[in-house]
Amino acid sequence: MKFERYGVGIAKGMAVTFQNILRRPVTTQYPDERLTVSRRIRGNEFTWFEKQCAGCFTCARSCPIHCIEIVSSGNGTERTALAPCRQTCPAGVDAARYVRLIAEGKFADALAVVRERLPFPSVCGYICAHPCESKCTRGQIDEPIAIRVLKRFAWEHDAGIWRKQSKVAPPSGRRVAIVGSGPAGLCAGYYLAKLGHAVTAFEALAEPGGMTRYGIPEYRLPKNILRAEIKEIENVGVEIRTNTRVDSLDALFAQGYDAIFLAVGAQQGIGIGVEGEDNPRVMGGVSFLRRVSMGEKVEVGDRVAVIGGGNTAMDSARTARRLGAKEVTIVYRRTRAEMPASHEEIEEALVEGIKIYFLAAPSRILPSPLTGEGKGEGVKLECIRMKLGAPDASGRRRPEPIKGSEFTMDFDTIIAAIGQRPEIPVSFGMKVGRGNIIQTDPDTLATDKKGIFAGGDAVSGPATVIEAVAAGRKAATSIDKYLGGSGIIDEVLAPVEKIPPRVAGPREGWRPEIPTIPYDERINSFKGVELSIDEELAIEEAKRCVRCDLAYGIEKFQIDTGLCMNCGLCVEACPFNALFFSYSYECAKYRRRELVLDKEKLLPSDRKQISGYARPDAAALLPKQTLLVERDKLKK
Amino acid sequence: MSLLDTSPINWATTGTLSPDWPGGYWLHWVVFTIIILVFVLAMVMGFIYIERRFVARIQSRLGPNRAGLFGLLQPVFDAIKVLVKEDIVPAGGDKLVHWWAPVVAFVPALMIFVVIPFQDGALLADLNIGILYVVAVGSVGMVGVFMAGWGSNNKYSVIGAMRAVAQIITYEIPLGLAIISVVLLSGSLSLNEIVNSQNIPFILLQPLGFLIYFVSACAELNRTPFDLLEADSEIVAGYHIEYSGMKFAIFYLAEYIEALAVSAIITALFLSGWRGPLLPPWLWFLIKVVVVFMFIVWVRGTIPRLRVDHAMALSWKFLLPVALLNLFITSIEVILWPLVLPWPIILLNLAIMVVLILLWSRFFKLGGGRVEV
Amino acid sequence: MPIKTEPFAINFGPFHPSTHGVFRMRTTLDGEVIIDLEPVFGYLHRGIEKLAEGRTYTQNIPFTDRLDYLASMSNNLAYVLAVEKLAGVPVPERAEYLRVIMAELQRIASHLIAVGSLLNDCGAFMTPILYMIREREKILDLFEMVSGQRLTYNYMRIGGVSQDIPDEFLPALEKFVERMPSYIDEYDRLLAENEILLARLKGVGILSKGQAINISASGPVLRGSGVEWDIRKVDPYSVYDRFEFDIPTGTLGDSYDRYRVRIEEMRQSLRIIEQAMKQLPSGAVKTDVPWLMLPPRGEAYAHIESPKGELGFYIVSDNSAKPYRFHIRAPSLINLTALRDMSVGWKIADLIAIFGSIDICMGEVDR
Repeated sequence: MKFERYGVGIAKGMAVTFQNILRRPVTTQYPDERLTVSRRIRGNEFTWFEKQCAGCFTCARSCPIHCIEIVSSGNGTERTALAPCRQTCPAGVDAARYVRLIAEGKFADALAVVRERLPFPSVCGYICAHPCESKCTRGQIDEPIAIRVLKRFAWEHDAGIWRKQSKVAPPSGRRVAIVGSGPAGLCAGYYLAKLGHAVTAFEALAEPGGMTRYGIPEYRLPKNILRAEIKEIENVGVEIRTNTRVDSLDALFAQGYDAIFLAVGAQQGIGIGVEGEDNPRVMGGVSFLRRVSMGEKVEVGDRVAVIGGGNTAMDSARTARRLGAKEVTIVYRRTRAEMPASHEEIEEALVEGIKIYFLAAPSRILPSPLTGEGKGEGVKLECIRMKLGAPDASGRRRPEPIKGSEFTMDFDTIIAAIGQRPEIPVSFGMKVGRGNIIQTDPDTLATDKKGIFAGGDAVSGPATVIEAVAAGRKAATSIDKYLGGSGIIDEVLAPVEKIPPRVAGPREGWRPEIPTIPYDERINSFKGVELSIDEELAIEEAKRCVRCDLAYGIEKFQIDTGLCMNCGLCVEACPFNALFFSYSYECAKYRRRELVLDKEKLLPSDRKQISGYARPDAAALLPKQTLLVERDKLKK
Repeated sequence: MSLLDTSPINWATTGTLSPDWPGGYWLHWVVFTIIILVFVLAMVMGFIYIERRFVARIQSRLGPNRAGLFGLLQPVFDAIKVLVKEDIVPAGGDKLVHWWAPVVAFVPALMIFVVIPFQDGALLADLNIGILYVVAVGSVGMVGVFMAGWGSNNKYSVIGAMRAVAQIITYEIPLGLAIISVVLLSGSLSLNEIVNSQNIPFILLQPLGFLIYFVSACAELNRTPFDLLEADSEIVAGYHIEYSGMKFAIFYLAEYIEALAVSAIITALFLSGWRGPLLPPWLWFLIKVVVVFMFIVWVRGTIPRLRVDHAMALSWKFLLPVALLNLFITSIEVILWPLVLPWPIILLNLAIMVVLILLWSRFFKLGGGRVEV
Repeated sequence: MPIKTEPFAINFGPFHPSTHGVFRMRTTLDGEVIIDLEPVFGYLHRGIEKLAEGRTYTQNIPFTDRLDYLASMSNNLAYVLAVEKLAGVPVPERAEYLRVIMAELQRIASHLIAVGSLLNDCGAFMTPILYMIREREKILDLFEMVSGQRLTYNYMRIGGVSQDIPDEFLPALEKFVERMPSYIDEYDRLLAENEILLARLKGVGILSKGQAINISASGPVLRGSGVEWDIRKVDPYSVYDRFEFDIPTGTLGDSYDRYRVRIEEMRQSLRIIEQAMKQLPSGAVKTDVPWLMLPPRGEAYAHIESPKGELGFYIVSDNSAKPYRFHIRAPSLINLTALRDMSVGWKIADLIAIFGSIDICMGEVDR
C-alpha cells in the first residue's frame, strides 16, 4: 500500500524541516561563520615585486583580456640570480649574454663570450644537446631561443676579438698526460696548457676528437670543422700523440708526467642480450659509426633494423640510410615520450624516411634463410610487444612485455645501439663501479690513486659533449690545484658590456625554421644537414630573448582591476615569481587582511566585537604566506 | 489580569458605570480600537520577524540578525525602506482602481479583529453573529486583490487576480462548513461564547474540522502551498507585481494581518482561545496565536506549491465532500452523544478522520493531465 | 466539456525569476493552458566562439569557465581535452585522476543547483535549494582549495591541471564523500514522496525516447527518457574506463524521471570519487607545455559528459597559436529545443517545472 497519497510524504518533509530547526544553521552565518578558506586565493589584488620583475612582458601577453599595462624605463642592470640558460649549461656558458650581443650585432663579442667557458664553440654550435634551451624562459612562453644555432652563427662570424684577451701563462715546468683526446680530454688539456703546464694528449686512433670524431657522423659535424677546432687547441700548446695507446699509467708517471687525466670515454657498445646476437649480421651502434667514420666501406644491405632509442641509434639509422639502406627501422621498447634521443634528431630521422616501431623489444635473432638472392644471408628479428607499466627510478614508465605477442621481421643487418659503457683497460688498475665507470670524487674528479684524475663519459657513462666539456673544465681546475696552481681557469675574453636600453618588450614571433639541405641530397651523401643562418635571421631570433639575466626598470606596472577577471594566468605565467595574488581581498564590508583558516578561532570569546577579522593579533595566529601558485611544486 | 483590568469593559460589567451609558460605550470603543491597532501592528511586526527567523532556521540560515538586538528592528527598517520608495502607477493602468485596491484589501483584514476575544469579554464588539461576520468580512479583502490585479494593466497580475477569485470562491465553502461544525458543538456564533464553551479544545473534538479549516484558511491567506496568486516563480508576484512603496507595504501588511486574524480565529475556534491554566488569559491567547502562526510558517517552509487545477480539485473533490460528511457526523454526535463522556468521542473523531481521509483519497485525483490543443 | 477562451499571449522573460538567466518564452495561453510556445534566446550572447579565435589556446581556458558557470570544471575539461587531442599532448596519470575528481564534484554541485532550482520553481519556498546550496558550498570550498576561486576555477591546463592539490584537500574530500549520501537521503525525505510534488512532476512534460533521440538530447534529459547513453561509458575519456559506476535512467521521460536521474547521478559520482581517491597516483600533474603552443594543422572534437549533457569542443587549427575555428556543442541549447514539445498542453506552472527539469544555463545556451 502506497502511503504517498495520504500525507505521509508531507509528514516526512515536515520532519526533515523540523530536524533542521534544531540543527545549527550553516548556510549563512556571516560574520560568525566557521568556514574553511583555502590557502590559495585568486583575488583582485596583486602584489608585484619590482625587484623580481625583469620586464619581460610575459604577464601582459598571457592576459586574455589585455588588462596589464607595463612601461619599461629602458635601463637595465644585471640581476643577482643567473639566467636559467646559464644555470643549466654544464659548462656555464652565459648564453643570455651572447644572444644579447648577437641581437646588437656584435657577433665577434658574442663568440668571445662563448669562448670564455667553452673551447669548442663550433662543435657545440653543431651538435650540442642544448640543455639550456629546455630551460629557456622564452620556452615557457612559446618556443625557446635557438641558442645552439646562434652559437654556431657566432662562431661563423668570428673576427678573432677573443684572441686579444686570450693569454697563455708562462711555463710552469709541470707535465700532464691526458689519456684520450675526446672533448673532455682536449678541454682539460686546453685549460691546463693555458695555465702553463706541458700537456700531452694520447690518442689510440688515427685522429683526435674521440666520439666527436668517430661517433658523430659527418653530416652532423663536418670533420674539417672539428679539425680546425682541435688546431686551436694545439695552438695553445697541447701536444696530441695519435695512434698511441696507453697501456700502463705507471709508465706515464715514469716518463715524468706529474698528473694524468683519464678521459677514455665510453666506447664499448652494450649487447642486446638476446639469443642469437652473435650473428655476423648484428653489429654494435658505436662500432658501426666508428667504422663508417674511419672511411671503411660498410655493407648494410637494403633492410636495416636499429635497436634502441638514443642518439646513437638515431645516428646509426641515419648513417645506414646514407649508406644505401632502403628501409631503416628503429625498434624501441617504450614510446616516443620516453625516447632519450633529442627531439630534433627524431624529427630529422622521421623526415629521412626512417620508421620507428614503438613498444617493441627484440626477443630473439634468427638467421633468415629466406632472404639471400646473392647478397648473403639475412637475419630474422623476433620482437615482442611491450606495454608501459609503473614508473621506475628514472621516472620513465617501465616497459613490460605482453605475453604471446611476438612477431618477426626480416632484415639484412641489425644495429644494436642500446647503450655504451666505458672500456677501461685492466692494466690501469682503476676502481670501476656499476656500468664499468671509473669512480672519482665528484667534486675534484680525483680517483683513489694519487695524481690520477678521470672525467667525461668514462666517469659519467655516455653523455653529451657539453657535459664532457664541463668535466674537462673541472678536471683542469683540480689538476692545476694538485700541481700547486690556483686552479683558476676562468678568463675574460669579451669586452665589458654596456647593457643596452630597452623600450619595447622582446620581439614577438616564433623560433625560425633552421634551414636544412633538401631530402634528396641527404640520403645520398654525408653533407652537413643543417645550414648556417644569415645575419638578419640571427638578429631577429636573438631579439626574441626576454633577457631574463637583466632587470630592466619598470616605470609603470598596472593591472586594470576593473577588467581583470582573476583568471590567474599572468601570475602563473610569470617566469620570475614577480607577481602574486595578495592575500587580502574584499569580503562584504569587512576587508580581510589576513588569511582566515578557521574563523571560529579568531572570534573573541566575549563576542563584543562584530567580527574576528578586526582582532589585532589575528595576523599572529595565521600562516604567513599564501600564493596562488605553489611554485616549488609546479616547476620542481 | 493587570493589563486589562482598567478596560472599560470591566467598568461596564462591574457596575461602576451603567452598561448603556453613552460615555462608557464610546470609551470602550476608543480604548479597544487603540488596543486592536497597537496589537495588530505590533503583532504584524512580530510576525514578520518570527516568520523570517523561523523560515531561516528551517532553511539552515540565521535570518535577520543585524538590525537591533537579534535583528528585532529588521521589520522597522524594512518598513522605513519601503515607505520611502517611489510609488509607481503603471502607464495604462486604471489609476483609481490601482489606488483603492490596497485600501480595500487592508481595511477588511483589520475589521476582523472587532470580534476577536483577547480574554473573556475583552473584545470590541461581542457580536452574536461573530464568526459569520468574520467569514463575511474576511472575503472582502479578495476584492482588493482583484482590483489590484485588474488595475495594474499587467498580464501576470491579471492571471494572479483570476486565480485569487477562483481560489476564494473555492475555499470559502469548506471553510464555512468547518466553522459550522464548530458552531454546532458550541451552540453559538459569538466567538466569545465559542471560547467559553470549550472545556475541551475543539481541535480534539473536531480534528477533521480543524484540518479542513486550516487548509482552507491557508488558501484564504494565499500562503504556501496555496500562494498561487502571487507565485513568484510562475507569475512573478501576481497581483502586486506593479505595486511599490507605501501601497505595496499596505498589501504586505494586509497579508500579515490576515495571517494574524486566521491564527486568532483558529485559536478561538479550535484551541480554546484564552483559556489555559496558570498564565493570564491574554498571554495564553498570544502564545496560542504565535504557535499557530509558526505552524503555518513551518508548512510554508516545507511544502511546494499546488498547481492551479490541483488547488481547485483539492477543494471541490476532497475538502468539500469530506467537510459535508464531517458536518453530518458532527450533527449526529451533537444530537445523540451524552455530554458527560467527552473522551471516547475524541478517539472516535480521530478514527473517523483517519478513515475518511484514507477512504476519500481513494476516490480523489489531484487535477488533470495534458490538455490537447 | 472544454471551454475555449481567447488566446492570451504572454512573454515569460527575458527577466523572469524562473528563466535562470535571460531567456524568453513567448507563450500563448488559453486560460492557464499553454497552447503555443516559442523559445527566444540570445540575450546573453557574448560571442565567445569568436572571441576564442582571437586568443591563444591557453588564454581561452578562462573563457570556458564562463560558458556554463555552474560547471566550470567540466567546461575546462572538455576544452583541454579537445586541445590535447589536437596537439597530441600527453597528460600525467595524477592529473587525469584529479580531473575526474573535479569533474565529478562539479557534477554533484551542478546537479544540486539543478534539482534545487527545479524544486524552488515548483514553489517549495527556498528550503530545498538552500539545503542543496549548503552542500554545494562544501564543494566550492574544495574547489577554492585547489584553484583559489569559487566559481570560475580556471583549473585545468593543456597537459594537466594548473597545480597540484594542497595537502588538506584529500582529507576534506574524504569527509565530504562520507557525509554527502546522508544529505542526499535528506533531500529525498524532504520532497521525493511529497504528493504535491509528485502531482506536479509525475507524468508532466513527457519527452519520449524517440523524441529525445531525434532532437539529439543528452545528459539527464536523455537518460530520463530511458536511453542509457553516457559519454563516460560509451566513449570513455580521461580515465573513466577505470571506474565502476551505473548509468541511472528513467522510464517515462517526465520531469520526475529527470529529477530522479540527477539525484541518482549524484550518488554515482560519489562512487567514482571514492574510487578515484583510492587509486590516485603520485607524480607530476602537468606536462611541460609552453604558454603559446602551435598545434599541428587539423581539427579535433572532444566531448565529455558534462552535468548538463554532452559538452563538446570542436577546434580547428591552422598551425598558428590561435584556433582557426572554435565551436562549442552546448548541451543546454540542444536540450532546450525540446521545451515546446514537452510543455504545450500543460499549465503555466508546469511550464516552469518542465523548464527547470531540463536544467539549462544561459551562459552556455547563448555563449
